[in-house]
Amino acid sequence: MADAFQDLLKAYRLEDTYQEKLLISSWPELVGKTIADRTSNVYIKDKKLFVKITSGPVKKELQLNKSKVIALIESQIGKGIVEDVVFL
Amino acid sequence: MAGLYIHIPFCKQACHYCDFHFSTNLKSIASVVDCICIELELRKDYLKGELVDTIYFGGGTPSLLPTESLEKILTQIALFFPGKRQEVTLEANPDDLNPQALATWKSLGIDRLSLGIQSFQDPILKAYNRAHTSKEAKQAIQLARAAGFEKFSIDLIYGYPHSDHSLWHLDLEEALRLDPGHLSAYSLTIEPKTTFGNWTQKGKFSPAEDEFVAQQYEWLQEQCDKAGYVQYEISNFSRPNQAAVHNSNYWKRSPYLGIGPSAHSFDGESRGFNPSSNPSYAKALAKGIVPLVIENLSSSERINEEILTGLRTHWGVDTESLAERYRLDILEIKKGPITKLTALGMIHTLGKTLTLTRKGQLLADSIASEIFIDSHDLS
Repeated sequence: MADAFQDLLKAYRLEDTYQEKLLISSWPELVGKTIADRTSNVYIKDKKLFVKITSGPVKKELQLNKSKVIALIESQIGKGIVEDVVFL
Repeated sequence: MAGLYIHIPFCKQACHYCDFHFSTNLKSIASVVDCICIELELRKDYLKGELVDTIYFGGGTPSLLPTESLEKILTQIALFFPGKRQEVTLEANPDDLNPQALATWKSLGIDRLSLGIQSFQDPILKAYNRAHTSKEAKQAIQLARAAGFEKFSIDLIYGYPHSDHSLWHLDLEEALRLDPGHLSAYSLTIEPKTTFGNWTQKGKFSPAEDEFVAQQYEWLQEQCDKAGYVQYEISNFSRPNQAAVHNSNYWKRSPYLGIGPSAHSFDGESRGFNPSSNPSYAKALAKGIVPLVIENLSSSERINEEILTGLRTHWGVDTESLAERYRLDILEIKKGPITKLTALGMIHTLGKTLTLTRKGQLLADSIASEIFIDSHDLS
C-alpha cells in the first residue's frame, strides 16, 4: 500500500511536494520541544529549508551544526528533500 | 533505552554536608557549558545507537544555569541524541524558582523537577548552609504546581544531630502535606572534604548516633507507608506510577551517558569517569579530548553491582536472570548466608527473587556484601 502510494505520487510528480509538506509538519517531532518551541516559521523554497528561530543561542548551535540537521532530515524523512538549511 | 545525565558543577554557595563536585566560581559557567556541548558531540556514539529516553540535569545546581546555557545544551542533545523523551528532570533549588524560570524550563521540554528542599526548618537550613528559607521551600511546590509541573520530587535529609526527633517529624509532616508524587530522603552522612567533615575532625561537630538515625528512617518508612507511598528504593518513595524513570534505570543497570565534570557513564560492561575538576575538564575538551577514565568491570564485579543495587530496590535481585547470563546459581552458592539472613528476618526469597525486608533495609550494604561472590565462584 505504501509503495503504491509512493508510485502514485511519482506518477503525478507530487512526491517532492508531499515530502516537503511532511518535513514541515514533522519539524517539531524531528527536533524536539526545545527547538520546536523556539521555531516561529518553517518553509521550503528551491530545495532550501528556511527556519525562523526566535532564540539566539539555539540559532547559533543550529548554524554550527547545519550538516547534522540535514543528516537528521535525511535519516528521518528521506534523502534529497532539501540541499541546504538556512536559520533565520 | 538509555539515559543521559548532565552534571552542572556550579552552586551559589557550599552546603556544609555536600561532597558532590561543584564550584562557586560562576564566572566559568559559559566555558564549561561550551565544553559540555563539545563532549555531547564527541561522545554521541557511546550509547551505540540506543535511544535516549530520559535526561537528567544534576549538580551542583542546574537551576542556576542561565536560560541560554540550557538552550545550548538541549539543542545539542536534540541534534546528537534525537528521539522522544519519557522524562526530562532538572534539579532545582527553591530560591531559583519563579514563574518566569518555570515557564522557560517547561518550554525547553523539562517535565520533572527534583526540588532540593532538604528541610522546612529554618534552623536546620541555616545549619546546612542552604541558600533558601523555609518559606521559599513551601512556595517552591506551589509555584511548580501553578506552572503546570505534574511531576516533581522533594529531597529531604534526616539524621541531623538534635536532642529529639521533633524537627524531623515536622519536616516529614510538611512534605507529606504538600503531597508530592515523589519523595527522596537521605540520611546526613559526614564526608571528609566537607565543612561538617572538617568540623567533626576538629571536634566542633558531633554526628548523630546510628540508633538515632535509624529511628528517623523507620519513622520515614512508617509515615510514607501510611500516606500511600511505595518505597521502591532504600531512599526513594513515590505515588504509584510516579517512580523516577531515569534513576530507576540506573538501578536496573540500563546504560547511561554522563556528561560534564565528575559525571559517570555506564555502557553495560564498563564505567567511565570524567575528572572532578572544572579546569581539567575544560582544558581537555578545548583540545577535543574526552578526559574519560575507563574502568572495565569483571563478571564478578558486574554481578556484585547487580546484587548491591538490586537489593536496594523493591524489584530485588533476579537470581534466575543472573543464572542465565552468568551460569551462576547464587541461591546455591550463597545458601549459607542467605539462610542465615532469612532466619534473621533481613531478606526474603519470593520465587527466585531476593529482596530486603524492612528490617534489612537498615543494613542494605552490609547484607549485600554477605552475598557478594568471588571470581572463583564463576566456573
